[in-house]
Amino acid sequence: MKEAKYLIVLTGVAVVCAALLAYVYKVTAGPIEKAKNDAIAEGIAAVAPELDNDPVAQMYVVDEKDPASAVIYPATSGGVVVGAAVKTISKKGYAGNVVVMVGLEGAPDGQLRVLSTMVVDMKETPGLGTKAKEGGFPNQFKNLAVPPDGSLFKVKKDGGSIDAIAGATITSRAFTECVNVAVQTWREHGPAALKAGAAPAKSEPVNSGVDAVKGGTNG
Amino acid sequence: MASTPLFKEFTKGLVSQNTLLVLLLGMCPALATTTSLANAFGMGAAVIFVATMSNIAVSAIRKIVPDEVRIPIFVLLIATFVTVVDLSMKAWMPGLSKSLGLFIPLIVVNCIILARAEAFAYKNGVVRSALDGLGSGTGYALGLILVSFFRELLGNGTLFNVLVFGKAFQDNAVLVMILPPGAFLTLGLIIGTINKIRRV
Repeated sequence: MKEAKYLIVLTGVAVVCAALLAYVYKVTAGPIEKAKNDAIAEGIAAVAPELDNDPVAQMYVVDEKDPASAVIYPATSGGVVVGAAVKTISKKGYAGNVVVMVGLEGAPDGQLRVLSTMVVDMKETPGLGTKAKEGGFPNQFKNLAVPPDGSLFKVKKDGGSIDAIAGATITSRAFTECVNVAVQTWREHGPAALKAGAAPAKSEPVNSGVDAVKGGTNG
Repeated sequence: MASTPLFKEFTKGLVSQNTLLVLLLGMCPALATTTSLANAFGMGAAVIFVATMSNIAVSAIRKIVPDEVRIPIFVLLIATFVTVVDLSMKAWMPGLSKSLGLFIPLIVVNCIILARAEAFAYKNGVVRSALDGLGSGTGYALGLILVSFFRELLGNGTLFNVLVFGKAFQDNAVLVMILPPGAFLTLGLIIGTINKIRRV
């Protein structure tokens, strides 16, 4: 009855492993959740205009069925809309998705200004694409007025005014796309987001959009 | 085997049988995770933990594991420990976990771990196996750290993200060192140097 022994040993090891993993999963689930939310909250605080509401609680996922959907975190101060942080995902990165938190100042139907940006997640080439995280390239998006005629930001190679990162045009384009999408999202869905935020009972569970960050893993 | 002094089981993995620089195992993650010293330390620590724990577990149950099903059992044990590392890193070191990305889960298929389990832990006692795992893991980690030291210093002008030669050097750093070819170059030169020394 050699086969019986195989069965018993394999099952035994599997059960022990499963129990260990279940335990570790339970212990780490909380901190992992918290780390994700912290990263989001940190991003909002870094880019959004001064606010006194809770943007994470009022988050608005534009298309819940799309894991790469843009997410709006409205910013209000004393009940007045001052702007928003919009998390957008570009699939045009050099290695996987580029996720950027874009801070916008102004009401959806008014004059808009890009306040600041922050890379939430990217797997771009270290030393090249990762220069989008700080330095000259993202600084171009600080206090940048959005053209009122609805034209988009473009890198110079595409006929725009944004200086691309040397050696990382693809990353620069993906980043710029994120900023454009953020502006469009706030213009189109801002009013709906503000409406949803006014009735917090209807607001989405805090996590529905966060997992999208993991979407584009390709080793 | 039993006559080898215990400490040798540990030290052989560091120098004479260094998993990365002498046995040339685990090259793929070595190319990918050596872009910065911080990454190399994180990856090295993960490999040390998994190698040691899987060696202990394999050698502890080696007498009840039938030969025919040993490989699935090894893989199961290794995958379990790797998942433990992956989840813990995500929970308590989210930054590091993000920059290492896929390469932590990929330790499951790292040949070093399975090779030590099969070639050593399955035939030796728990203490010896633990030392062997610790040694080969540490050797691998040292290899990673050595490679990443040169890559981060020359490619980005920093060590642990701290500027070493000043801003001007960083702006004109040898970019190729950070890119995959830099990993091949660095690794090749280090291995060549080691071979030269060993032959003398």
